[in-house]
Amino acid sequence: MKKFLYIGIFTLAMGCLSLMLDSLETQNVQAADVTLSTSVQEYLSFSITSGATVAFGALTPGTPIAAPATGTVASVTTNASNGYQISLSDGSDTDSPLVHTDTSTKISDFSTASTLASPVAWGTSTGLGVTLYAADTSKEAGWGDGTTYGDTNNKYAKIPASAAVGHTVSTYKATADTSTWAFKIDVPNTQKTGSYTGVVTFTATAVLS
Amino acid sequence: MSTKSFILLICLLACFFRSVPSALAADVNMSTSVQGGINLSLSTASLSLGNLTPGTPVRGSGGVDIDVTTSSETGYNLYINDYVSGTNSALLHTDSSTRIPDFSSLISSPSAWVSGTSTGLGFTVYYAQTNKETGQWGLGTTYNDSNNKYAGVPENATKIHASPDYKASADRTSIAFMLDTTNAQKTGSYSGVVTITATAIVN
Repeated sequence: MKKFLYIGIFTLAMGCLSLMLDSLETQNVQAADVTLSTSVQEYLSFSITSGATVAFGALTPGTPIAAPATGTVASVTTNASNGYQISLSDGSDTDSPLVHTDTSTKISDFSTASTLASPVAWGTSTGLGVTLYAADTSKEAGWGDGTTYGDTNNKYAKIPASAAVGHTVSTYKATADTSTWAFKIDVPNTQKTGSYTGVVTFTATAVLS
Repeated sequence: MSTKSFILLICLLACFFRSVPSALAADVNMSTSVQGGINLSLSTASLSLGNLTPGTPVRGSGGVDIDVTTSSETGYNLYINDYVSGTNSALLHTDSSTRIPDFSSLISSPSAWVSGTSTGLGFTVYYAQTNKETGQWGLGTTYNDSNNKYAGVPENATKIHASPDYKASADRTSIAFMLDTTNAQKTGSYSGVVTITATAIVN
């Protein structure tokens, strides 16, 4: 009987010891948290990776020419959480940037009814127009269904004097994102013969909010 | 032996045995074990690392002092973790899915930060009141010392500093963070929690 009593007491003692050790373990550890924060700022890299020089070649009035065959490829790398926009401009709202070597005669803009936000089919128009025929992300339906630089399904717009948005990517892109543009030109029979040159400016803008 | 002698012997034995209980002594051995408690406090529970332009590392305006008080006769160990698996750090975008990666070096072999090249979230132990592991964390003495060496914060608690022996008062260890990202890191606000744990060494 006594023996069973001792065993009972020993078992109870072991139980207490176990409880004490658990408690001791808890007392010997302390933890605390540090909350870290940062705001990652914008980065944007932009380049024309192909078609930075567009040579239309010899133009016969009434026979439009599309170029370049490679397309003018605008490549944007940005960490902007809301994507980026591509804008175009040429310094004139009525004339294209193509100026004769006489430094005064210009080739006109494409159809005055068109804008970068609402391109139109080429038809029998004259002037200098631009189209977006391919994009890695969200090609706007307004540019038509064309998929190549000379596709008859492309729609064109005149290039405005001041930068206006022609393409919008509204989501974050982890890698370079491209849009591929092409130009088309025709002139009336009255256009002065000779060489014309000019510059169109592409601008990429990160969208932060 | 005569009958008289036998009776006398019996009487003497009886007297002897009756007197034994009143002469016995017993010792009580007393002992105790003073248990160790531990307390940890941070100089700040919130650290803004600042606005980060990819390629230009940031580290906030200072480090985090960790003060540990313990009565442990054999000191304590410090641990760090962020409960985030893989190569990601605790820093999470407000989109709830994009994370900034860990700095690639491990706590077992921290490495120097190469400005403009190193990326991710790293931390360093730049000061320890007791036995800073300079072979591990470098010879830096301030939060922005270029001699500091950095490691990523692991998912599970990993020892970053050992402070042996009894201390009568608080013992300080200071850590600092460093952050940079690649150009591709999504813009916006990121935040996250890093946990510091102190464990008393109990033999």
